[in-house]
Amino acid sequence: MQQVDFDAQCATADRIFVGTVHAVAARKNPRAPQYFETIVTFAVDEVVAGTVPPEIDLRLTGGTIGDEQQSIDGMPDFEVGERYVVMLEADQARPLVSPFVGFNQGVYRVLRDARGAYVGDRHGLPLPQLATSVAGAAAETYGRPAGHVDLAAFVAGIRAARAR
Amino acid sequence: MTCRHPQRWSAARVAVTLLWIGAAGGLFLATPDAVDAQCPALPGDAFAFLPLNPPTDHCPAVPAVHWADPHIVFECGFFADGTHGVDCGEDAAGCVELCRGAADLWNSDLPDRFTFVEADPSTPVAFCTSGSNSGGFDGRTSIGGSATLCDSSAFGSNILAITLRRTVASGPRTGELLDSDITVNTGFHFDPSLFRHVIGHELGHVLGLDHPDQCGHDFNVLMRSVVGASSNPCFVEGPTTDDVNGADLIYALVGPTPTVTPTPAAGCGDADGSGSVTVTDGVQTLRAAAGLSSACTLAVCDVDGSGAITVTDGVNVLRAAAGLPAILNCGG
Repeated sequence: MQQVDFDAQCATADRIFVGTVHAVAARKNPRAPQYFETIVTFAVDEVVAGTVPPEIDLRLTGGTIGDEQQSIDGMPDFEVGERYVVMLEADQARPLVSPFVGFNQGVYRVLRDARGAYVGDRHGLPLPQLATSVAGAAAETYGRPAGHVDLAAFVAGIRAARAR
Repeated sequence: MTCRHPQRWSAARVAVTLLWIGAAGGLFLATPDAVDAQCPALPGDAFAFLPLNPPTDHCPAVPAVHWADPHIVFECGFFADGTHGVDCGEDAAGCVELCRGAADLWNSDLPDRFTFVEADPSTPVAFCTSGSNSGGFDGRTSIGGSATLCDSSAFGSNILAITLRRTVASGPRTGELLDSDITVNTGFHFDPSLFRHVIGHELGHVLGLDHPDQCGHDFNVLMRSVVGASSNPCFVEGPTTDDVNGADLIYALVGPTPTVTPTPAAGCGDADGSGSVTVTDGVQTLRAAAGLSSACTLAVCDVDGSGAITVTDGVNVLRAAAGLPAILNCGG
């Protein structure tokens, strides 16, 4: 996989939103039934860029049906109730293996503590490469775990990057 | 710099500047200081295992996914079949050889633990058979190029290659790999070093390894999830010590160690009854393992006494034919 830096993620994303996982369901791929796919339904909390409906289904290759799992290394995994900042590639004639910018790079977990919502990588771990690039000094939010940034600052950073 | 295979590091380490392949085809310049920062010594444990039930077991501490039989048949010939070729920086035959070379690197690092076994032409591997209920999944690894993944979905703009695998998700065989296929994105132009890196990386997934950088161990190892240009001084072309350490942990647990059987049972492995164990017998055993017509009987070709004729039996017969340590223990 090629690395996509944060500015490029922001700039190339077709749509960006903050959303909460509402449902995760695996099924057989209707175009190739021997393969599985997983539909992740997000309830959209905030549209950051592009046009996104209040609820959106995203298709990912792979999934688990019965005692059989089909999977791709690095494919993002979701659980109901989790909240994310999601950057999507533009739809193509064929569905993408993964709809996210850079396969799994345009997915950021939103966590919450007493001070409010903040953002980590897709597993909720620190974002060292972003700490100085997202929203400039605003990204270094006092009191947050290292490498995590306030959701509001993160979203502002995305908008600023798209404006550049 | 700790590196088991220093010859696999790029010779371009003296470069004053380096270029990373970046987003949307752009190139980003890094400073010489950044070079040192990007090439730390390997810690020995910069590896990760594939999870079985993500996200609940993200970055498992012990191997969760493995092959029951650590002899995996693979086929690189698709790169020269006129349909699944890629621009690997060499001609089609060269691409096949680079692919085989990537498997050879793993084989040389995992003796008696895990072996990528090149498919026999008499039992051809089909491209993309990792789907279920197709009647075609074969437990073997096809490696070739395509503009789409096996399930016909599109790669997206930054994916060089994908390994799609099939695993038992529950029951007594939980975590057992059943099949895997590698598809290289034909939308990219590779140089030979990068191509071999990509194939080797994907074969690492076939083994059961995941991306250590996504588990808190970001070092320049083969299994890092992102790759820079092969001119980068930190570029690795094959498995590093850390990659091998991870694979050793998987197959130390499940890999039977072949032992020499000095007095094999009479006729054991001698599928054609010629009086000796030959490569022909190995081929016959592999054909039987694949469900094809063969001279094999269970009494002669089930050389490990497992009760069935499997690829493992075929490999053991081939090893015996080559004079290598092998299990020849028909009847258990």
